[in-house]
Amino acid sequence: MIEESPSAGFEIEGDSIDAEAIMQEIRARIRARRAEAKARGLDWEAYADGLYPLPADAVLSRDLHEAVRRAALGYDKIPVEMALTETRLPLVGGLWQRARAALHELVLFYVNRLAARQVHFNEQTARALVMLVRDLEAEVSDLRARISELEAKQT
Amino acid sequence: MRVHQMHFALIPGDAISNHILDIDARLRDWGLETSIYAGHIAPELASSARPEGEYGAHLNASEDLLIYHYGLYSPGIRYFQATHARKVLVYHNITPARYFQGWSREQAMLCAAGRRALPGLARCDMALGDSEFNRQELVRAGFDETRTAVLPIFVPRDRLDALPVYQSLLARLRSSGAVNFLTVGRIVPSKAVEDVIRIFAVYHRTINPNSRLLIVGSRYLPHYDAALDALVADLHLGDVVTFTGLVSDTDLKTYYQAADLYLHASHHEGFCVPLLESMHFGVPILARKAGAVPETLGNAGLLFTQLGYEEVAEMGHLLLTEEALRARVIAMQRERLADFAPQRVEAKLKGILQGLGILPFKGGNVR
Repeated sequence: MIEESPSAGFEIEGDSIDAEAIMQEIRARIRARRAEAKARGLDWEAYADGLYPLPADAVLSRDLHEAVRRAALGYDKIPVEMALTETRLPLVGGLWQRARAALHELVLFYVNRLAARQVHFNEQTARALVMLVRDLEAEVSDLRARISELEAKQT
Repeated sequence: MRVHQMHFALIPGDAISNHILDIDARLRDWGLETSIYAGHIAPELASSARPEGEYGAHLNASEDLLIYHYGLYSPGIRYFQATHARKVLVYHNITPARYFQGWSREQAMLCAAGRRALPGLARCDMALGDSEFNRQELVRAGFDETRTAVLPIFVPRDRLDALPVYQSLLARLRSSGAVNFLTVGRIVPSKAVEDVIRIFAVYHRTINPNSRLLIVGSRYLPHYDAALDALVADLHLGDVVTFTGLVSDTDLKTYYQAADLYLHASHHEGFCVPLLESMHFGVPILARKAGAVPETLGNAGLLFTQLGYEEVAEMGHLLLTEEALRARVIAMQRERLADFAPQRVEAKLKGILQGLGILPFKGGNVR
């Protein structure tokens, strides 16, 4: 799955390696690949994930598949990171900032413990959703086949 | 006077276990009487070590040296704390507990306990870190900085070269001209195997479908394993991603020889032996800049500092296809590997033992 994340920074060492040129090359290639996918009418994220196109035998709506896919991909995007603003307090600013950081760390510690449990639950829920959709699709396909069979017998 | 080494476990294929055995071999070469103790000894290594309880008989031998290898909490640390012998702690780093939270309560507790216990081991003659990264952790834990040093892990290149290659496996991995991504290490959350899988997924889907990801390492966290298996299934990569589990040294060498790119996304490393192994086998490295990884790589390999799956996949593709870049990276890796030559590590070890009066300064051997 493609994260909406900032571009990767790279550290490339070596006198004979032009790091900036390499980064530009990488960005150009990515733009080209995305443009090619768009020209082919592909959803880039789904394409990169390997979930494009919809399975040939999909019977439920594309929107439902997409919603389940996003739930399955996003189940672990929960843990929180520190977001500490700068302080402008004179003299004691440094000490105050360290105290704030320690307090934030403590809160984050417990929050992320809770987040870890939530991730576990989310993962189980997402898995159940995926299995439910698959079972429903199988059931619907089976029922449709039987209906077709019955209709064929009537005529 | 004897030199004892102790660790919580002695297991084949474990980097620390191999390091202990390599140190033991050198100590014996230098004429020292040695023994190894472990809380758990794998059957294959039963002849190399004794149960740690047997060290109790040597607690009062003040002329001895105890080298305690610390990489996970173990009740065996009480021997290190209680012994009257000279003491050297070798710190291999302990993964911060937060990486196991939500995955394994037991592992999280062990890691937390191990880190909490570290300051209590500061009363020793010398404390060594595999890396400067590890040494700095020792200093922050209260160890006397003047009594700390760095001793890298031995990478037994001669032994690696002498190993055979599993030809049928190599042929299978090389068949159809598939590009092989490789990552090696315990399958644990701190190593962010899910990020390796995601980067590979982008490469496989958008750049080169004739590719394969080989994930080599022991699996022992059921929840994490299940999540990774589910991720592979969700990404429809079941046919091209292989979890090998723990493998023999021969198989490991075969995987390195089949690999075209080594991908490492770990959030935390104290040294990272697979990086040196990759360098030895000429596999270009693309690794997350975290922990001791930049130190181990030096100016070799390529480091990514932020995770953009497309960018990292594209960089991997460049490393695989741009011959000049690939050759330069491999050459730089070989140069860096020379800094970890066994002779250099041996010289450092000898210098440390000479400083402690275990070995004489001239001649080298005790006898």
